[in-house]
Amino acid sequence: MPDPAGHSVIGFYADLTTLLDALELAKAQGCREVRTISPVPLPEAEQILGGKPSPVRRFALAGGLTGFLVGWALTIGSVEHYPLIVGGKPLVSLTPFGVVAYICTILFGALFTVVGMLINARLPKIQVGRGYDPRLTGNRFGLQVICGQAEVEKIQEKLLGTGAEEVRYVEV
Amino acid sequence: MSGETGTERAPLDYTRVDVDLVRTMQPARRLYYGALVFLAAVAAWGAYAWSVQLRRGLGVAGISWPVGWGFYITLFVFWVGIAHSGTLISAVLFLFRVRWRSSIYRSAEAVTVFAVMTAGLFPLIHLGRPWVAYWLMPYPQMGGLFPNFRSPLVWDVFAVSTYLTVSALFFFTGMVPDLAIVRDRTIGWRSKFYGFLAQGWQGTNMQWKHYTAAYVFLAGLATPLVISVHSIVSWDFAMSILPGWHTAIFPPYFVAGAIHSGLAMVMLLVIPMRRIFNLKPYITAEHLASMAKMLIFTGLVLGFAYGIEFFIAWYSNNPFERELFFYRAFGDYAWALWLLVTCNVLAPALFFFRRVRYSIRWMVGIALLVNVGMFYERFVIIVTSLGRSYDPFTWKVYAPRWPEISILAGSFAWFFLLFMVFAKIFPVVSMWEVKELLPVPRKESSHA
Repeated sequence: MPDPAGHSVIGFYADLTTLLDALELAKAQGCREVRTISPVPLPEAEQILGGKPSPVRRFALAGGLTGFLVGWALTIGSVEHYPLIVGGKPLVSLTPFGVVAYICTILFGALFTVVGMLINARLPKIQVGRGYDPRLTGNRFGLQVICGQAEVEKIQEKLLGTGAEEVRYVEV
Repeated sequence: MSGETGTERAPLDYTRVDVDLVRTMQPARRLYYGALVFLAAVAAWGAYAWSVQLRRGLGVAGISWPVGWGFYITLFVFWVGIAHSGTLISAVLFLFRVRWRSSIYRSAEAVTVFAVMTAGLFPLIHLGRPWVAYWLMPYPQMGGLFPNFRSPLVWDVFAVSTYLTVSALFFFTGMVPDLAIVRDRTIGWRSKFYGFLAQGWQGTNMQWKHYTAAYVFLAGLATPLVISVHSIVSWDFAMSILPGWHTAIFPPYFVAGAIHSGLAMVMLLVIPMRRIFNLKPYITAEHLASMAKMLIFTGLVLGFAYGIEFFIAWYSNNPFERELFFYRAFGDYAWALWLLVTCNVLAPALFFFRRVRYSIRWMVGIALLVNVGMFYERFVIIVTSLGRSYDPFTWKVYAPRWPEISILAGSFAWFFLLFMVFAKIFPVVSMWEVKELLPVPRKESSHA
């Protein structure tokens, strides 16, 4: 059996307060990587974990701009490609073409947003990650600490000390 | 939603939410399958009627010059309108942080997606040659000729297909964490099926961060669609110069009407679902009353729009407009006009009374009337203007024939069939958002 790429410890918590205490402790210990697993989003945990805002907003902006340009390019490009006066209106009719550009802005913005979410959240996956426990979509909160092999026991003890109901070693 | 209800035994908590809502997806009883078979049969009858029309031509339907848009386009506008409640409840109310939306929005989104799917059938049914429907799409063809982008009908193709795409994305994205819950609460092929749909969702802080950001942006992008899609549908009419159609009031008037009918349809579906699945702790009387209040608002907007239409016809001093609106009020279709005013404006006004707002029977009755009224609103707009335009020589009274009535019935059966299948396969209430509204389990500490 090949050596795992890394080691981690997951602590299971019944309440958010204990989880946040454990999270602060893990951060204070300088653990390499710490993450929470929970049935609902936890803004308080996100504050402790820090990090930059999600880059999904850039995907939304890029999608919107792309759609806006695609809408204009499609409408203007089509009449330039096949100049045909309809109803006595100018070939490049900005107002009606703006409607198409507006719709394309929304369409591409939404598509890019979803793609951005999938890329950043590393989805889709064929299977859930190792050590995942069904209780963590139910009524329990998880704290996963990625660490070196030498630190596993120490972190297990620390997490139990913070009030974890159960602590489990997981290869990652 | 509160953590406790007056009617139920135990307060809601995370475990109970999972148990209650996964239970709605248990194998159904015979009655459910009986209803599915009935709906499938009616939908098949509608498909048969369409097949007759395809074989014999559009002449089998009642539509003919000058009333080229009859039941089919009426139904197209009706179903696009029904779709609007979903986006309103899921996206607009989300951005305004309206808490009562959480229990209802999943069903409302399903209504949106299925209603747009149903609406999309009607331009095809209305085409004499539906096999060339792809001509409406901008694709590079040998002749180099593209659709006419100055035509509101082409805007409509873009608007409705974008609406379907964005609604479906929003619907499915919102469901991913719930699919993971179902994956974890089922076994065998069901667990594998939901696991596939959940895409490996675990609920890590990283996933939640990007997910919630994407959800806000999808809501932000879907919100303008609530306004724009039905505005563009209204331009199908308003961009022409027919009396009764060529008016600037159409976009807001159509948007309000769309939300009105959509809310009524959501009520019609949610009320029986709440009873059958025992969802009273999740979809409370307060939630339904909130929807009733929105119906009062949209009903008043519609009442104002109906009045303003007649006022403009009189005040403009345009003889064609005056004649048309006189005809609408007292001509061949007067019964439809007064029926729609009664159903869309007067009936929802009964919700001003608290007793009516909290009565399930009244709610179902009024929601039903609103849907009837909204169908006839579109019917009156389309048929009277086409059948009574400038030249009296062209005046004609339209009446639908059996293929149109069959396709109408088939479209309703098709929509309800889709919704019933959805209600058994997917969680009808958003579990993760309901949990988010409940108090998070905490201990006494600095974080409390």
